[in-house]
Amino acid sequence: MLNNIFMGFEHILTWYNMGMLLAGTALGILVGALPGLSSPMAMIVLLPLTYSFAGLPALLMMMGAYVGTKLGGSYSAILLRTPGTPAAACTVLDGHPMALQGKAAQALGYATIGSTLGGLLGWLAASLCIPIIAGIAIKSGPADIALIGLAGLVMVSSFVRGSMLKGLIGILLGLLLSTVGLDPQDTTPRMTFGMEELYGGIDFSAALVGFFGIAVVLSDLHRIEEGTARIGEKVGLCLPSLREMRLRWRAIVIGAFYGLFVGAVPGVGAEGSTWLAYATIRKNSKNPESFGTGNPDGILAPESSNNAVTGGTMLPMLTLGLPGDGSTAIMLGALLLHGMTPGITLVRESPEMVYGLLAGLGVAHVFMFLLGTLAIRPYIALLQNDRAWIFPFVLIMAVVGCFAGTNNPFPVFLAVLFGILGYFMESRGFPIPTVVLGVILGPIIEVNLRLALSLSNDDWLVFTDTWPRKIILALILYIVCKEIFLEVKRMRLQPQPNITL
Amino acid sequence: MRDLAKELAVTGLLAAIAATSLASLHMTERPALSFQYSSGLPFSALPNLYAGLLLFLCLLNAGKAVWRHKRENQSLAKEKKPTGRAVATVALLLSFVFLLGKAPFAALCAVFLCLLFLVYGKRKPLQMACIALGGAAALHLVFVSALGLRL
Amino acid sequence: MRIVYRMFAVAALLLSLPVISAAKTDYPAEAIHIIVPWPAGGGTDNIARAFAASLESTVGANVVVDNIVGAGGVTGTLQAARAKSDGYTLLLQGSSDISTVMVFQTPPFTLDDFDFLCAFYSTPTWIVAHKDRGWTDLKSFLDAADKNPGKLTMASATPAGAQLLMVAAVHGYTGGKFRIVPYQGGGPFRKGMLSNEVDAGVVHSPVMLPEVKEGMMRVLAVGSPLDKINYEPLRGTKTLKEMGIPFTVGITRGILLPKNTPPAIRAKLLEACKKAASSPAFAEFGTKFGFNPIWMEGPDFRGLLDEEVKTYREIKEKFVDTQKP
Repeated sequence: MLNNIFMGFEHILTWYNMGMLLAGTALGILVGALPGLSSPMAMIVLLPLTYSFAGLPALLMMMGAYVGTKLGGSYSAILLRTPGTPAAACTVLDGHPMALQGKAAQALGYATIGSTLGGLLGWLAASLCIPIIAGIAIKSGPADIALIGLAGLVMVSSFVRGSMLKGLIGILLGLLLSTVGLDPQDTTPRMTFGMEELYGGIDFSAALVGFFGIAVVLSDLHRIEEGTARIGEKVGLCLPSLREMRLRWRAIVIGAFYGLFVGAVPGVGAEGSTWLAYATIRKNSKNPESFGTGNPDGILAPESSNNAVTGGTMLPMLTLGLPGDGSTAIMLGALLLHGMTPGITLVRESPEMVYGLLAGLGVAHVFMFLLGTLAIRPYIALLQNDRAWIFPFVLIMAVVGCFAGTNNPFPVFLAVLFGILGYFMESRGFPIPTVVLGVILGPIIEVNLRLALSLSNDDWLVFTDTWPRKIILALILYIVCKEIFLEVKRMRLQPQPNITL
Repeated sequence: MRDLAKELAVTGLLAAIAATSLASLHMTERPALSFQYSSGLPFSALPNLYAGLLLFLCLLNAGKAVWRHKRENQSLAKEKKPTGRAVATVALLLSFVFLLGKAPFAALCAVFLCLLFLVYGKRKPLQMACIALGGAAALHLVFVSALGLRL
Repeated sequence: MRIVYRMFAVAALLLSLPVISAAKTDYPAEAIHIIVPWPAGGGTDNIARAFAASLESTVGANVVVDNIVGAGGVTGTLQAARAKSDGYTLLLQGSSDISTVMVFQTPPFTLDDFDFLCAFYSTPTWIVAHKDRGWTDLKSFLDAADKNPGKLTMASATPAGAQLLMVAAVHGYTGGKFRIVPYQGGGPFRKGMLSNEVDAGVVHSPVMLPEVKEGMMRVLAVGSPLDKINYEPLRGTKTLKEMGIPFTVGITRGILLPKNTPPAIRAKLLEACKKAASSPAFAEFGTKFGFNPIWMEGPDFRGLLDEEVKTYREIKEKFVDTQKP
């Protein structure tokens, strides 16, 4: 195994290749940080460029961009409360409060180191255990995917501040929105009210831009007067010390674990794994109440997770031709354009390509670390300004980014609508991440649920067939029951009657 | 009282969404394809579940808000900031989206950036114009030159 | 902050310099956009991009691919139908995609809204099965299905479309003792086949060709002759017609224009497309992807599609609309 990796490194270590990788990573961080532009979009932009270049450098560039967006999204999540990519939604929980406390540089530092260490850990594990990761990708059936998606969603609802009731309402709204459109199995139009534009369903970028971009800006308008100097002290090095990282190793490892394994299951991706990681680290922490107020572990775990996902998604793509998420699907397309068919054929005929790319993934994280650290200061300097200057740019970029992703003005109108809805909901304490995650995870859960039933001839027991499924199901039930119990307890402490759910 | 009204309004809006969905689903009786695949869940199963639960929880939330209001007579929520800015923002955004593609992109961006700066309280015309034009130029570079959007 | 203002001012000045617009003398004077109504990275998108790259060198302008997805291809197709007929907007569409839309939905356009330029890609649809299942051909699968009614499953790569029609036709004409499982596209379908979740599956070739070459998958039957797939050993596979199922399914894709495109522009475009389709670069892509480029002129292309819409409608009415649980 190691031989192959060394061979991969040898293959890619040329100035040209490294230059492409660096450029891609820089582009990725930039694109990720801009609200409205997402990772698949960066891939689509790079796709035509790959034609002019040879296969390996082109793919290295795309991979760099893929890795970069995972970090870039967190930058705007921490500083602006609008995640640049949905994978960074979880980072907002502790990242933004920390920035508000005047520790923005540290927050970005945690995000950078978390992403790097988690990504490298995931990459290492993926490279050394290729058969295991590939096995997970192949063996996971629709029932597993549906359950993991559900688990992620349940986690989202239980770990955002605010009442659980409102969290559930948010999730259900998101799930309901995700069902709009033609039914995936029998193409019946659902809740489209005769509008053909809705046949394709609600574009996830409309939900992202609307709820995470526009609604947030609308809600934060009152901060314009407060134009606070969010960076209190002049910080020398923004990165956490080695000593501190030694203490916080659990956050990184747990995040990487979830990222790698959930990433390997095709379809779920970082949107699910970050929440699972956050939930686990919070549960095992000595003071869970501090999460949501700026606990560094609350940044490290999801960041580590969303970068470890890259190892989990790239590996099945390269060795089996099964992409784990939207961005890897486009990279698969790029490989096909260059006449290479990822899968067993590629591994056998051009192993240097497969292992070269895999090696590139590791190097990409190193570059991401360097570029990310360098970007912290300028980024803060740029965004430290009066929000009155920044918000208009955020709004315009989000809107145009949404248009760019869909080439269609309708989703943008929807986004504005969602922005208004999200603004009202947030003003009454409804947690917004739940809605977006509902929109993203909803189709994954529904399609796989129905496919699983289709395959098993309507046998619901298929969801308890294997041990992993039993465990996940038990986990879901445990979390739900525990949260209901806690919520009831919370209500008992206040002078109110017992409203049980 | 105002606090309660706002809570009920938002909850009511969400409940209305749920109810509309249920009604819409109810009116779509036959699947588009009478083709019955072997799966047991019809097209309306999950949306009905989601909408039904949503409606139920909204009613629960409304009830909780009313009860809490009866128990504690003070307003708990923070003072609502003026929403004039929010309304102006939305109006400007909608016009921007409507005009996308109908007017040259860079010019459109510059105008809207300027207007938004105005809404957010900026008053120095030279400063606003500089940033708006520069910003519009940058946006043009990114979206039209680099990404090749047809705007 | 002053410096930043200055920078912005300079940038603004640079951009406000009169832009010398390209004199619109000859076609093509600006970039040509090919609308692909499917997501980036998918099979159709890849073919479109490869063709676009070849076209760039033969037509003398930039060729850009726009993925405008939605509603089974309707959104992008509609946008193309409504585009200006100035030769700068092309649509990549074809049989089974647009024919399906005409048959399964009532779209806000008809075939008459388009000018069919040419077709350059044609492959049959096939039924594949994982080798571990042990079927050697469609007959062995059907025999096993007869012995175990309701147990075997055949997947369709999409829930509505030519692939589904093929499954429905096989199901209907052979007494239907197996269950039909729809997947949501090539990606999930591939995963399902590789994981061996279903007994067999229908998909447009050359999807799954690499796995067939490796011996992991077997081809049970095809919808139309396999002579366009460059893999010799498969040439002998039986077509549905040869097995008694009177249905021909394949997929032919090409370029469509909005109707009423000026003849001069159309002729130029046609010539450029012909050169692109027969270019060595595109042929090489085809070899690696698994197909041989073809060339079909507009009228033949349109005729093929009309024929298809008729056949699809028949099959749909026979086997899809009247299917009972």
